[in-house]
Amino acid sequence: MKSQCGRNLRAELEHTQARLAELEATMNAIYRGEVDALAVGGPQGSRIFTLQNPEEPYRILAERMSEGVATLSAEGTILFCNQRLAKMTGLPPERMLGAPFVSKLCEEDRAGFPGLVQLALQHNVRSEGHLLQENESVLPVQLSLSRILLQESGEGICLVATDLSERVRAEEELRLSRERQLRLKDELLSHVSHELRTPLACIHQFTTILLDGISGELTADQSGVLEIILKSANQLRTMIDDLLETARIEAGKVKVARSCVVLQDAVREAIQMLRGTAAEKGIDLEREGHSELLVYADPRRVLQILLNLIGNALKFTPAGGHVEVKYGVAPGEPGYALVTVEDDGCGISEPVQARVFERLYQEGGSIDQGHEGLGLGLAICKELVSSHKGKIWVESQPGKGSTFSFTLPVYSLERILSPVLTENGTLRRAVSLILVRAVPKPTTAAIEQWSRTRRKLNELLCRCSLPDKDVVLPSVRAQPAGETFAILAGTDASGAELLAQRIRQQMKRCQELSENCVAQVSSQVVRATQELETPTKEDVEAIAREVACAVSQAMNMRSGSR
Amino acid sequence: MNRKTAKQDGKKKGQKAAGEMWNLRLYIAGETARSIAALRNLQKICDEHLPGKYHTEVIDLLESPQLAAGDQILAVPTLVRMLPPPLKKIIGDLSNTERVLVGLDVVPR
Repeated sequence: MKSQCGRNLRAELEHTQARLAELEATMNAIYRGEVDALAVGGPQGSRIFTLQNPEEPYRILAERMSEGVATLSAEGTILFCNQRLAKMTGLPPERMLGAPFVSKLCEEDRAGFPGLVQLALQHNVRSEGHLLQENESVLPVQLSLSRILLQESGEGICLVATDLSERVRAEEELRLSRERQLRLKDELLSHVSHELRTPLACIHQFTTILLDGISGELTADQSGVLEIILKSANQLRTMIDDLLETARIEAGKVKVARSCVVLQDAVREAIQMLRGTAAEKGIDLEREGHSELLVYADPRRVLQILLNLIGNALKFTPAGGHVEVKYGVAPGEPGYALVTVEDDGCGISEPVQARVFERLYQEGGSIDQGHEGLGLGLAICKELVSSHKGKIWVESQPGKGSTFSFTLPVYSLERILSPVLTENGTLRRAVSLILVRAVPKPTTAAIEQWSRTRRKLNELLCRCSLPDKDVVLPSVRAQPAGETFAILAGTDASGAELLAQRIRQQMKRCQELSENCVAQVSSQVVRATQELETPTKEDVEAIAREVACAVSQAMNMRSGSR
Repeated sequence: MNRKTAKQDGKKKGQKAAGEMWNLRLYIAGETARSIAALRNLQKICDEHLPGKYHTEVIDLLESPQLAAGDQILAVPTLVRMLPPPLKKIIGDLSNTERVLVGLDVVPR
């Protein structure tokens, strides 16, 4: 039904355009003197006027047509105007006569009009513009200007103004209906992907049960077959996840929860997850880089980007190959971190390089070549990187290998403070710090386990904080004594205490956290202002430095004091 | 309806060479100078460019003005191409042969 509506609108548009063309042809025929009669429709049916004087049909036509018509002098003064044009501007015809036509145009169109008249004296011109209406509103019109000869005073301009508001409305509706359709498509996509996951989870679960021998011993053949089923189910799940992710990105539903990410940790985690795949193919997977580098990004997204790029590199590198992930400050761009994933695989030819980030693009339809995936991964990466204000690109030499690179903004306390400090250009009443000091329980000896716990804690803090008001700060480690996590919140003492209470409650509820760590949550005001101030950019920067200093002191002191 | 049009369009291309019929309708207003000129020009153009494969119909709106509404005629003379579809109008006395041939799609644009 929606597309029917679109079709109707399009047909309407085409009809209007055809009618315009016919009117133009009529006007031209009249100018050339090829017409000497007019059929004028009226309440009693058509009447025919045959005319000897060539000006007569012009006048009748001009008065009857639904377009606005005016005769202008070469200087642009209105010498004649029909009822319709007067109506379009909301003025009586007599107030139009003698006025410069340019004064009937809206402000933005005025400067261009004299040039249009000059052009029209050479050849017919057409342009879009806006007529001023009585009530300050504007009417979109198409202006057609043609040169005519005026009997007494030489050259003049015949101007035809066609009301485009219908067309503009139709185009707007067409656009809206297209958007509605897109949204429906995305919703369907997201729904279908969800539905597909449920039976797939079932397949996965029962296959593992069989494979584990829980329901009886298996022969080697049977295990082999089940392994294949499991592998295919996993592939299918990755594809569905990609579809789901694309649908979310399309719908603008991807929320980036930024916090401070230790780049090395993210890379290490990604590599750990893919080590099995690399070992299976006999590919050397390594990393190298700046261990302290912090980026301001969504940790889950960073991992997703890395998994995608490294996974791709593994996919397109033959056995015995080499994949290396490097990370450091971007050369020439100190505010950004650069991550590169380098392989010595088959490489990508230049025309393909330009397209790899497109959705559903795969080189030579590589589904046939046995590579799994839908061709959505790199498109998703691109969306994710740009939603972090970073860049992503590829360099490659066919046969020698490819290097995918992306940048992410480096984390700095000052950089992220402005939403906390100000609201709609005024300073917030107060800025507070909520500190969570967490110490691993003796049973949580393994570093592995602690890293899971701290990620959990970070997630919890992200969940509790408001994106436009609070920021989750990078934790300060004081191993083995523990680690200090913090939220900087644009709120006063009582607001901060409320937030602290919420965090306490949520931590108690989370089994993993209560099992693995002992935590103390406290709140304090870092900066209070009596009145709301209207600061300049420099003021905010100065305050940001001041607050950053106070915050790092508070965090270090707390963690150092124990 | 769309399908029908598309089909006929296809036919049109195929049949042009094979001698398709051109059905033309000329609207005039009695014996005004332009009406007479249009009649004469139409005759000449058809004989020269569509010999043996045209059919013309002349409607005098002075005699039957109610017919103007059907094809939405405003200026007279006007030539209407009834067949082959789509409907096309050429307004004026047909004195510029080239413009008429282009307008009727007898010669490509």
